[in-house]
Amino acid sequence: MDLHLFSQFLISGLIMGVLYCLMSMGINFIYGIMKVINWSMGEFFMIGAFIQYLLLESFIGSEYWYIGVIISACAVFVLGALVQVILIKPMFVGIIEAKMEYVTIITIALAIFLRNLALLIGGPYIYTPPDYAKPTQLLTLPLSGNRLVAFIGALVLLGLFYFFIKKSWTGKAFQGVAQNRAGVQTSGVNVLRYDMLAFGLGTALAGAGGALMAPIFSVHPLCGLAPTIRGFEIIVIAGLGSIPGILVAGLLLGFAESLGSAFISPSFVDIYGFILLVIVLSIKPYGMFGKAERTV
Amino acid sequence: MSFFKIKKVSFLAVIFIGLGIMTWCMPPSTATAGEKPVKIGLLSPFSPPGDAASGQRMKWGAELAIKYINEEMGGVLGGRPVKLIVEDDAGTPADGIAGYRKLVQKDGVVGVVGQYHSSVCIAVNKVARDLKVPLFSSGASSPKITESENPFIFSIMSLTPDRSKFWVDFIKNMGGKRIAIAAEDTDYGTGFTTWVAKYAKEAGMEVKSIIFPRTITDLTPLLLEIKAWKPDFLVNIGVPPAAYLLTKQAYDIGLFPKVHMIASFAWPARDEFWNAVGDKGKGILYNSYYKPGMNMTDLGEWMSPRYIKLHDEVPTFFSLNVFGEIIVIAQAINMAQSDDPQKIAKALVQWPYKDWNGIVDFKEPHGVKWHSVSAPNIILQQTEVRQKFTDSKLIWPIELGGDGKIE
Repeated sequence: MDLHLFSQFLISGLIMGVLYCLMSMGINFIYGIMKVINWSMGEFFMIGAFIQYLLLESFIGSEYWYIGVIISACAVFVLGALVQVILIKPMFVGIIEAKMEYVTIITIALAIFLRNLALLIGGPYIYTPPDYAKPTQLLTLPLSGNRLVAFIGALVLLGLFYFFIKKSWTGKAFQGVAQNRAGVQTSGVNVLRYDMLAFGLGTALAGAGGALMAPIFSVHPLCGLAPTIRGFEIIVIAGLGSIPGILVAGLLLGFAESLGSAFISPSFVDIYGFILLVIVLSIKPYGMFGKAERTV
Repeated sequence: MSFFKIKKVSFLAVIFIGLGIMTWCMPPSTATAGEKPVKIGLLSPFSPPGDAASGQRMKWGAELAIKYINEEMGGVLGGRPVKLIVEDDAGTPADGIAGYRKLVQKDGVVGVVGQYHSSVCIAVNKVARDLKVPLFSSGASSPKITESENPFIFSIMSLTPDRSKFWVDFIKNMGGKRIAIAAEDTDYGTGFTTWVAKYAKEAGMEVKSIIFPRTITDLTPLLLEIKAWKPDFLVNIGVPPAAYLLTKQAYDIGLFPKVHMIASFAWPARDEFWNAVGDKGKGILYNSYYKPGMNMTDLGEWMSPRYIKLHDEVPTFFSLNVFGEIIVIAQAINMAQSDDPQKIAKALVQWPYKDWNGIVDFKEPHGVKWHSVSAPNIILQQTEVRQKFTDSKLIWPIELGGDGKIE
């Protein structure tokens, strides 16, 4: 393989790695705060993509795609927060302790419901919003403008999210909830309110991802499935609850898929992530950045 | 004769004459509503990961077939209406088997049409052999289906070996020497990969084939490798949405349209294709089995304008095929003089039947041609963005009106 092609694979892997990070960040954040896994994350991704498509085709036009991304993220935030209040919150007993199995069932049921609802409303068809930018070149790799926009957009969103968590008061409160749900209440933090915000924010990240990637992966009822699978792979590789781990694991997954395709075969692109996952777990059972939880 | 008797006779005469006039005015062919309906099943993909857009169009074709049988043929077996029962196979073998079992064992259908995905049809075919109810492959092309020599499988479709040879001949005639194949990891994709490679090597051509997962979203690594190999033609053996993503991403990395792309069936003729790829689909070549305007029988001529009126688009091959298959079953029911599926299967082989584009005659030679009637293959090209099926340019073969020139 020549160096030119190898560099193309590397850049392609880098871009996909960052896009995967955005997807898994939402899942990871919700788990970090609420200690529940939202199995319907792909469907929030899909809803974000559908809203973006509708906005660009019928309301704001393709030149304002970035406004569409913001509106999609906000709309998914509201929907996510409502879902948390109506479906997830009642599963919490004693304010802080969730019945994990109920949340799993509820979010899987929600995923099936939302997927079928999309099928009912949008039909079995595939939609794609207009391009966000013209085809371009990133170093040696010719690529669509959409992919470059999504790459930059994902970096910006991840950066903003990191800044929000680390620097803002609300972010610090989130960190407190993540560290000790019972203890943080003594500081006056309303844990259930932060749960709602966390669920909304996590799903909004997925919605923004769906809106950003809509012209790349197209919009249809199952468009959130593949990013969600990658998202779960990443959080297991990274270790549940670790934000820096997500970035490292996302990039590793992107490179593993791309270089696996280059040196072995593109036919097994879905398997490389799982091989990476098995290798990481065999060395570090709690993931690269995960910590063993104390059990009492 | 008393006054009352005369009045009574006159009254009865008026009633009989009235009834006679009403009967004369009514279409003589309308099925008797009170009779127990004969049920025919449609088992097609209506949800992902199946090609639900094709499933929807097959359903539209099936609905018109039922209308034709009940209103124009007067039903079957002397007036019994025909009823359509629809099941979703979602493009997966497990759903296909469950759907076929439900149609046969719960609904009591006498025949099932609409099989589209090869992997599903191969799985359902095994169950059809056990349950002994005719199963029609309307779009599945794997040779494994008819090679099974199942007495209850019937195929009206261009099968993989024929289509592969047709593509290789076409590419050779267009001066191509290097063929890249990107195929999905199903019986459909892997079957084509094998057969195209076989015929291409026999023709002295070089082949590079890559299989991709059906649910793939990022095909860039695969396409970069193909681009570096510098093919003359790229055969896209995917089913939407992966087939659309492959087209779009091939354009994005500068592979297509510099390298000619052939779609393995007529998905570029759908409006949905243009919605998905925008102007990046211009120039794509695709395999079809008919082009609007080609000769049809009176059945096809009956169906086509009604379909256009109802759905604002020309019927696809698959919608016409399902339409024809249901009418073939109806004719077989009449010839068998029975709604027993086993007798219908025998009747299907015993006599030829009129279809939407000609006569179908199911023979029983050993191997892939078992109960198989092949449709003709043609290569069309979308020379304009959002070009309609009707306006696609016919490229190949020359004897069917193609000009042999790719734009």
